[in-house]
Amino acid sequence: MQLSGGLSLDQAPVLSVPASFFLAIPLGVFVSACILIAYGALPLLSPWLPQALALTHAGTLGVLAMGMIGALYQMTPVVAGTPVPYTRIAHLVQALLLAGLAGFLWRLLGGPESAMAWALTCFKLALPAFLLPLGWALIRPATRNETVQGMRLAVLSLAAVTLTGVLMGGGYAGGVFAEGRVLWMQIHLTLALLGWVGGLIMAVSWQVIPMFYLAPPASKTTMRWLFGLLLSGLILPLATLYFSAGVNDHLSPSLLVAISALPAATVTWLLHPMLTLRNISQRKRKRSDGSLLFWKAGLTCALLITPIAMAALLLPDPRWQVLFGWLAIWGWAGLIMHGMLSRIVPFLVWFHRYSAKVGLEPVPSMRSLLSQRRIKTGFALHTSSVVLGVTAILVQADLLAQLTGLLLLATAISLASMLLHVLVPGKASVSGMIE
Amino acid sequence: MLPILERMPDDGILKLTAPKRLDAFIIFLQNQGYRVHVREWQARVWDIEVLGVKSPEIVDLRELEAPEPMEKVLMACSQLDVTDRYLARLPHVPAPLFPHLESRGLSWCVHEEVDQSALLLIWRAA
Repeated sequence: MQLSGGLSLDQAPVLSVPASFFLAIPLGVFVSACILIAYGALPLLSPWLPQALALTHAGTLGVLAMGMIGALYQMTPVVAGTPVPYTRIAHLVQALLLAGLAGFLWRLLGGPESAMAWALTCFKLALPAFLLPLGWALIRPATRNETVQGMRLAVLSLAAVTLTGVLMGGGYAGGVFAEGRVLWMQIHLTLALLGWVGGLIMAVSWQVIPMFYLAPPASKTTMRWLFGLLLSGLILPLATLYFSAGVNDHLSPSLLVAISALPAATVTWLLHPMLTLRNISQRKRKRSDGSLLFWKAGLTCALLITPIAMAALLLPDPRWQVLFGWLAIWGWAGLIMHGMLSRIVPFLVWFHRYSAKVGLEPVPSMRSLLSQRRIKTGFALHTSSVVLGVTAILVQADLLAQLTGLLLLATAISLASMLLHVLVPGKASVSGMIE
Repeated sequence: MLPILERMPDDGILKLTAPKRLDAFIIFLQNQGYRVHVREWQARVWDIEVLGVKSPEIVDLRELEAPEPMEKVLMACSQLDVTDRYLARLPHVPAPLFPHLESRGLSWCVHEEVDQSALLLIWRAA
């Protein structure tokens, strides 16, 4: 039982904090598009090529991190019940990330070593500026639930991902690549995709799927099992590595890391998608919703990732590794993020601009802020780019890669137009009024 | 149980968790003028809601997507008088709603159910 008292509207961050992160996402998609248009199929040839690393990080840092960090600033006070202190630092974090990403991409696409040194400095400064205020709110939450646990895990993983990334990036900044580069890459990849992205997608889904789509919530037991398996799949690789040093001559350390991450991969790309798709199919009011199409497509994409990850691990053809990365970043995580933006941004705008006036004066309904047609256009473009990208990876044709780039460009324009339409005051039509 | 019920205001609500349905007790309460809602959450966990004779009907907003429950509650409470009470079932504990209620001089009390839905009582602070 909870009673009134002590709550203030100031607890959630101002709209400009998540909005500035969300508005940067189309820029990340645009940069990814430019890389594909400029370099054709080269970035899709092998994950070790600098152009492939540039494309990957334009997707992870330019697209996924922008959306996820923006969402964390917004969700932490609401879900954990504790405000994030010094939220305005978020703008500095974003500036550092964008400046770092610019240097990072410049170096990988032929720029000087100093560009990477600049990028790594920016990332090293951005990490504590993000981690300390957010960690403060997450360490002492007023509400303890599985979503908060998932958010904590995601943030911790992000810290580890940044540190391993900075360690490896030194090789491009005039230093030497860390010993066991393949192994570090495997750890970086595992923590990034399973801990940071997978942890947050799972935690957020537990909150938003029942809330926005009236799907039955996952039971507490299910959530605890999934969280436990995910956590074990992140700890096990490090433990395996430590205890097996010098013992097993047959398996390479990077393969051992990948195998011991299997519990986390199973949760992220098999159990969670299957359970969520089942819950979505059982929702109480089956209203047509464009954002739900993204969830369904993203979760279906996740189910394809595990077999492709196995192929990437066991087969020598590097295209499997590229395909795995493409489906994980732009398919699974990218689709879910795009869908969430089309649902959460109108909600935030409605909440910040209109909710205080409900019952006192006529206000627009949330659904009237963004048309389903706009959402479905974004969905058609995004899914087409995923499919064409898969074909381009398999066929390795420059023309297909460039066409994929053009589709990404169209997706970036559609996404930017959608976000600006909702976020810029006066742009959204207010046809459906609540009186 | 009866002393607790005697202390409950006429527009109050009492929540009980029992290992069985307590049919005889429910009939007794209904004969006394109380309204009683009974649900079985799981085996041997029964939820019994006893509403006072002047308690308002519970408005069920669980079938609405966010932010429609918030809209409905704020609309309903904009006309709430000092003697009125508003009772609603919501899909989950509506944390973002509470600051709005407080800024409008409304007091609230929320109970989270086993299925994570919530029972919300709102009244205007005297």
